[in-house]
Amino acid sequence: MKHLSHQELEAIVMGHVADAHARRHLALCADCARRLEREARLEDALHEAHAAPWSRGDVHRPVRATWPTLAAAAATLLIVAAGVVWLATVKPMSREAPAPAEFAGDPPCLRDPLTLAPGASTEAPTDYGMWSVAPTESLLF
Amino acid sequence: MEPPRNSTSDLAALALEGQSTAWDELVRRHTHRVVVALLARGVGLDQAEDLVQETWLRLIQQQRAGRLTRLELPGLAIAQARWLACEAARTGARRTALAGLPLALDAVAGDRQPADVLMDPEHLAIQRERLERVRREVERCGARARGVFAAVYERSLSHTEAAQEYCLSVQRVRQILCEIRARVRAALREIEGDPEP
Repeated sequence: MKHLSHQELEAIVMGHVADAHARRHLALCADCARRLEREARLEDALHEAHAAPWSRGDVHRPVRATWPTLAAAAATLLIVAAGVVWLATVKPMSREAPAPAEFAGDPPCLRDPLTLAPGASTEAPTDYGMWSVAPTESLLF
Repeated sequence: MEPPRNSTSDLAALALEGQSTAWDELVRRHTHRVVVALLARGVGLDQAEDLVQETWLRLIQQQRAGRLTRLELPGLAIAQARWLACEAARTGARRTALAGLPLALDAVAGDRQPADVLMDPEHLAIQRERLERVRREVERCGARARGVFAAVYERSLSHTEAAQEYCLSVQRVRQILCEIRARVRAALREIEGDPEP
């Protein structure tokens, strides 16, 4: 018995109508039926591969740059170049510190203590408790 | 001038409204894909073609009965055809058992496959690896070959339509597809260890 050729099996799975001889043979020959199944699995994988989400974005239709695209790109480039030139030529802005804000009320701890009242001092108070023992005469006189 | 070719989703929307010409075009466009899906599951050629006819009839009946709200093709047709193939395998197995004959393993394979094998994580991982390998091989082809491949396998164009779109002869389109198939076959043979050329 003459088996079906590889080309015949491939043609069947690629969409060619199988003739009566091929059909009869496939019904009788388990070997050729198995080979047809294998070819069909390959064809199935090719279809599935293209249906998968990661197969999108193929490059079979190259996108040609049209004049509106080129004009938009040129305009963008021009604007960027003008911005660079302007930044290079204009004087830098004044860096003076802003005037201190006036407080409407009298928030604590924000004013110089010297201005609080006559005689007010920022010096630490004398520690009167430092003498735990009676001072000697040498210290007193 | 040739009218523009409707996309499958446009045709599906028209088919859901009951337009018979849309159904005709969908059947013409996807029948071979569904037959291949059955052949890949080990169903014989004649039986696969019969099951696909039955599949379309059932889908049209469902639409006419108002029970079809979505029509995603070819996926729905493939699922329906596989289910019919399983039913046919179960019926065959029952008949064999009733006749007192020993049950052929092939007969019960169709009964077992959908639930047990197809959802098996190992099977799914192998399938994913296969598809990834196929995709890589196709990406290594030239731009025109990839274009022809996408026209036929993604947009379901016939070889003649693809030839017109790319200004090639039908023979050249088939040659390109055969070259891609040979490349993918060799790559899959590497990972599956299939000795037969």
